[in-house]
Amino acid sequence: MNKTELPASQPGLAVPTIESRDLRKSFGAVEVLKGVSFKAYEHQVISIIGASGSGKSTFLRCLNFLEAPSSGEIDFKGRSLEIGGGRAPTRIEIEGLRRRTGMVFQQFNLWSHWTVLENIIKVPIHVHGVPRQQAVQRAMDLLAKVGLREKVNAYPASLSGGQQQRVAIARALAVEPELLLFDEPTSALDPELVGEVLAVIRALAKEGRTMLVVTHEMSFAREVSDKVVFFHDGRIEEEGPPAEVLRQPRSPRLGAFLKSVR
Amino acid sequence: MNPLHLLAFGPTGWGDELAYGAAMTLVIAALGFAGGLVLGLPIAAARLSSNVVLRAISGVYVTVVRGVPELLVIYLLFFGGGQFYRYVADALGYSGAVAADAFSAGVLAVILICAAYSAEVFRGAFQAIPKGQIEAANAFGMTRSTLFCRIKLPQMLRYALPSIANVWQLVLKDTALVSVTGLVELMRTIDVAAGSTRSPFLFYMTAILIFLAFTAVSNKAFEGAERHFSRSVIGGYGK
Amino acid sequence: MNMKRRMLLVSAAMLVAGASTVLAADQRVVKLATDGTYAPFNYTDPSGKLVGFEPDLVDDICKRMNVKCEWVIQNFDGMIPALNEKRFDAILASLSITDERAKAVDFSIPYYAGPTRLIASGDGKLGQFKSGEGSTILLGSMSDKDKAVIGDVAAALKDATVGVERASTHAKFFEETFPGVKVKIYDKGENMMLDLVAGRIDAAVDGAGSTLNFISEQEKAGKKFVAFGPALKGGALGKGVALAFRKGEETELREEFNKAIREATADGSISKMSVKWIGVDGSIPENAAK
Repeated sequence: MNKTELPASQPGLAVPTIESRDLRKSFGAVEVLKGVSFKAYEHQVISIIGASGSGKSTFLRCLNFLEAPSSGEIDFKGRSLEIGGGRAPTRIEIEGLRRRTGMVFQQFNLWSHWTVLENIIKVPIHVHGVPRQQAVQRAMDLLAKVGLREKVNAYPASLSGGQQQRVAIARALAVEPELLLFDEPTSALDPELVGEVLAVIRALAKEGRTMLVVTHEMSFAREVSDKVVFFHDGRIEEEGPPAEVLRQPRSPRLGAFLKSVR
Repeated sequence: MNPLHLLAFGPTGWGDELAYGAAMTLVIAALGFAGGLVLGLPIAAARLSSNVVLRAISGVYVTVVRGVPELLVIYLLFFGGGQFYRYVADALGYSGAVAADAFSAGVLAVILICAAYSAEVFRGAFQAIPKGQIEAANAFGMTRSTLFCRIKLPQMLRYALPSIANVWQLVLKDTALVSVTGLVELMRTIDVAAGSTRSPFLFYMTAILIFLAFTAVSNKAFEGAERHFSRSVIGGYGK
Repeated sequence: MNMKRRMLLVSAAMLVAGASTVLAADQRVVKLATDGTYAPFNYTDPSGKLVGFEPDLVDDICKRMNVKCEWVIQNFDGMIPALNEKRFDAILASLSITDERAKAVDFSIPYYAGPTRLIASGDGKLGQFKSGEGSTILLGSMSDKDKAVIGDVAAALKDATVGVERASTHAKFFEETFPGVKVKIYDKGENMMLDLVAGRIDAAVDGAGSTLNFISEQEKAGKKFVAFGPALKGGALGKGVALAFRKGEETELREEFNKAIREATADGSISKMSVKWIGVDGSIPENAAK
């Protein structure tokens, strides 16, 4: 498959890696996103928090079109993908965007018929056209990084949840993404396994990767993020540096939410 | 006299005729099974399609073929098909013999039957693939064809395999129905031998043993394939 | 894939009219279908050759008709549909004439009717019964002498219980011919014969061919059974077996076969062939009279 080329980003920090404008999403008659405008710049780590049903996961999934937005615009590196009203993005455009992002899911979603190594190398080889040798080399490096080198030939079913999620992170990194999307990466884990996964995500944040993390882990949000975004009822209720947003919430709803998770 | 001399090979016994009939049965079953699986896949896809017309046509096909006796499908193709050619030939003013060849009609009937059953197996197996794994493939920008070939097909086959083994058994037994066309497969040979020697017990027992042998061998093969395809869920380490 | 091998072997049994005469280049070919599984009428030897009473019969009558007859092997179940789509010209496969089948096909005159016999233990009273022995009585056209013999049989059966098979024409025939005799009805012939051996019934009604088989089998086991009284045919026992043609077609061909069957009956050929293969004379004398 040909890798679809998007135009190169314009020079300067002014162009966000990803931006949404007035993004809306309805499931039938229920509007889940009620106009979300959002920007994430290169090297930013942004935590997205909010109660369940606030629309935070749906928002993340709309950014790479796993959910089709009902209307609004998404810019990826300055390239606009309009939805509704304007021209709908084609499957090829969507695939192009997805190939430049990596995603980590709550339920890991490793491909169960492939070994750990195969899970990591198949997308680079079959989607990005990376030579196998090179893909394997990179996969081994990534497995070392997430501390699972010895599981290279294991099947996902034989791994613990924490191990599976670390493999899923290696899988996402293998495509050298310009943006990493984490959809509640620790919510499905037993409490004692949360630490190992957060440690890996923390290390990635320190590398200066651009990351959007939907999470319930407030300590993680406070220590790691450059920005925290609080979703309430399908809108961004409040956003800002973690020190401000988490310590002195202006919105009474955020205050109540923070009390409830403490 | 030892009745087993009837099973001897050569001009005095039925051994070589039975071997030929058994081989013919295997050929019909193998062609019918392979063709049926190949045809079953697009039918399953049509069953799962978002297109209403495709869904309706494939639904009717699967329901009808599985719902009517298999013998009827064979009759329809062999005699009904022939009658259709007959009308055409008569219309063209040709009064000679036009007939569906027994072998082709038999294989085609088995293909059509196998396709209906395997389509349903495939459909269920496709639906059994965890949605998250398909979503993950989409999230990494796989094209539809890569998604199908690399993710859906191998996963689906793993789920389908145990039921596909059942379809193979069905196909193997359905070849016996093809004998109504006069095609000399195992069951027809057994009928001829049983009737001609007036030793039905000996020959029907022989037929049972041959069919059981086929079943035993194919069961082993399918067990091996199942082990191979499910190694990932048993959770083995390495190769 | 040499899937036609068996077909070719069977074709080796292809029957050529007048093997000793030179074939005319334009001699008509008549295709006849049989099943090849019904010994001794039509069956297959291990080399694939079609043999039996009917192949011999076809040799004979096709020679009389001066046509070249070829066999088409067809499973009995698909016989009539295959006839209708002209895979062959006629069926010659021990097909009994029934009213139901006569709606679908045109029958020739019957070429064979298996006689029906009464059978009993050779040691009992019925085993000693001598009246009508060796004769064949046509139930549809009995002479006074025939009627007297039937009367003798009825008298001998007065206190007996007689077994008959439910599905056959025997039940109807027996009630019409021997009213008042106590009958026991069986679903399966084998069970009836087991009861006869065990003495639970005194006599049984069965086809002449299987009667002969039964007697010879019992003889091997040291038990004596005999067929007694006259052989019986016609009437409620049915019309016999015939060739079947497509309904409303082939009228001329059918007449040619009828003529050849009459001739082969009249000169005793069918009688000889049926004694050779089946062990009883199944020819139908009325045919010769016409």
